[in-house]
Amino acid sequence: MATDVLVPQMGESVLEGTILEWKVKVGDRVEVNQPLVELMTDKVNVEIPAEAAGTISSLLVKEGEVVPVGTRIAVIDDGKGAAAPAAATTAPQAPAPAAPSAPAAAKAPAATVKGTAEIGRGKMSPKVKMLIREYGLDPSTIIPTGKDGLVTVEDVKRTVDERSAGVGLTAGPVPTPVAPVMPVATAAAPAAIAPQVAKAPKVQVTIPVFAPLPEAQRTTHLPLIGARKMIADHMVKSKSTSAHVTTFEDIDMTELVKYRNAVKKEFYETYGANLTYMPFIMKACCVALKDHPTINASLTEKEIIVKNYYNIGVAVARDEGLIVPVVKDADKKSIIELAVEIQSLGEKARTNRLRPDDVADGTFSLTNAGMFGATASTPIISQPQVAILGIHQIVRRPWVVNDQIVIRDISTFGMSFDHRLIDGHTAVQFLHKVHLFLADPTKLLLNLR
Amino acid sequence: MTRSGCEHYGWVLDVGRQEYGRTLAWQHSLVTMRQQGLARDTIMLVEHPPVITVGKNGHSENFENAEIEPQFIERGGDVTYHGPGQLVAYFVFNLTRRGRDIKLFMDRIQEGIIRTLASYNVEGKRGEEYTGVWVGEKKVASIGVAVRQWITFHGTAINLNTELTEFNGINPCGLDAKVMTSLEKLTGRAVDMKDFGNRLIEHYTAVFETEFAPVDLESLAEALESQAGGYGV
Repeated sequence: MATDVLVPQMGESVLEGTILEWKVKVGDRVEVNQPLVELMTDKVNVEIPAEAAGTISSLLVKEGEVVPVGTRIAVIDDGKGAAAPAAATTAPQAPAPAAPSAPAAAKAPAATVKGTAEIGRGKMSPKVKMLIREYGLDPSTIIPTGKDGLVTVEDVKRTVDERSAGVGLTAGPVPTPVAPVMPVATAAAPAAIAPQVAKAPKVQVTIPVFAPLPEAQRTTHLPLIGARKMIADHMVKSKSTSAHVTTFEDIDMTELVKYRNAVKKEFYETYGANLTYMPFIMKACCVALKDHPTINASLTEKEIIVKNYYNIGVAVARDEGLIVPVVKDADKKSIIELAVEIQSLGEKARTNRLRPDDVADGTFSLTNAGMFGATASTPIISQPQVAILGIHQIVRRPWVVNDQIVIRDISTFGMSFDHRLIDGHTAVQFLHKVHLFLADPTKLLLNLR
Repeated sequence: MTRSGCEHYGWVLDVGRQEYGRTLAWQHSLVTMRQQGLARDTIMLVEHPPVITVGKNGHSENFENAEIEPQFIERGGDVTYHGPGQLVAYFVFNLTRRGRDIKLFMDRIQEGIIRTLASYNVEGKRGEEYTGVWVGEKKVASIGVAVRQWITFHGTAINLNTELTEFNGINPCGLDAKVMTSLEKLTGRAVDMKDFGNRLIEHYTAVFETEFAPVDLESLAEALESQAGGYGV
């Protein structure tokens, strides 16, 4: 029988290779895994091993030729000719039908077994058949105890009980989840007034008991290292440093949503970046921060350090854990520049390419939990800053405007601030100012510089 | 794949400064051991004394002016130089357990280097035309890999404090020697090779979804030496 040697798949984007050197020649005897040929792709040299033993009957490609993946490059003949397949057909044995029932037979209490010869062939009433279907049982595993080998309801229940008790311990069939549809007719009766006599349910649901996982599989232990360790330390440090308070305000984003939807396609085509709400929120914060300088500050034991520059951190989720890259001098940048920079920092963060500079020297932070669906949260301050603004999902809500109920695009913002430095009224006024700018972007426009 | 857990468990073997031929024999031993399930996916970190090696794609005009006798080896690629100040990482990985995707494997080798460079404030990128890791128009790391029965060996050479004039007698990877740069040259200060190696392994942990446990040469020495010579070079 002949086996073709093909150029193997070497990865999705590897389409071809150069035949560098044949290690065998026609007539050579080869064993499984013996190197046949060396193939070269860009900077990688791959030896192709034989997948079958036999004699090389032909080499179809010359050294130096470039061949696509899947090309037949050689043939190995095992010398067995056409007789081999005929012999092989006798090999697979039909599975013995009695085999699956054997464990069940062994477990059944001997006294109740009346006719073991009838296992799997017992007669059944329609009700029993229905039960078997509902429990997903294999009829051949039920030992009938009824007259003349009849399978009784008790036989089915016993089998179900045995299965539940034996889960994970025997090699029996895996139970399929049982989800019987309960008739609801009885629910119509006013149960509170005329309590019904407890009646056996039509379908008895047995709650399975699972054997505990082996000790080694019950838990997975991972080292607390790298980014996760740093995040863990930072969060606890922040909570024990700052006196966290969170204030919320429902922000009416309707006008901004309208504006963004109108321009986002053209924006993307022009600047290659998605126009999100983040640049607008960042801009609104910068303007409001200038009116409330203590929010753009930090605190030491002896002094309050007010920062006269506006570096805004944006929290980014990644598999390795949260990181907060910083947009430097956000107050001096245009919405366009902010959009492009935020996108670029996000991509760098997600591919672990942030430089230390990229995450340093933030003065205020934004975090967006809305993209995952959150409508409120109380973020933890990124030290040594004193406030962080949490942005949440924009939801279309019924809203009262001028005594009319209308649909508005609402996002609840939650700002955590350090009450050591910032009083409640300051934080609330700041957040309200941010609201005014976002609710009416023309106000923001007037304040831009 | 779990989000935070590692998919694979591997070894990292830091052998310090070692002569090229010796580490080549060790790689061959590790390949055999990996095939037999006696070793895990292993990254070997090493710094070589000056040596010039030529891969399977070697063109004689690229090393005819070399001052040292070149060694001809089984990796892909053309000629290159190894020497003091250069961190070499050899990868003995079983690709059968990683989808037999050599392009993905090469990409990951490069990705780990790019991430490590980023921690030094250096923006590296994958060579589009010429495989390797580039910073701007200069090449900082070369790559050449061999695969035997889907076990990889050879790997990458990253120029940290490399004396770049050593490349002058050759055309590294067929390119002009002037194209080579080093992290020292890029950052203006000498790089702690140990520190770079640690960061590199940290990034490879994420990139290869593999937790690399350090193994020392002593614990492996007997196995390596007894296997050595199983392959002709």
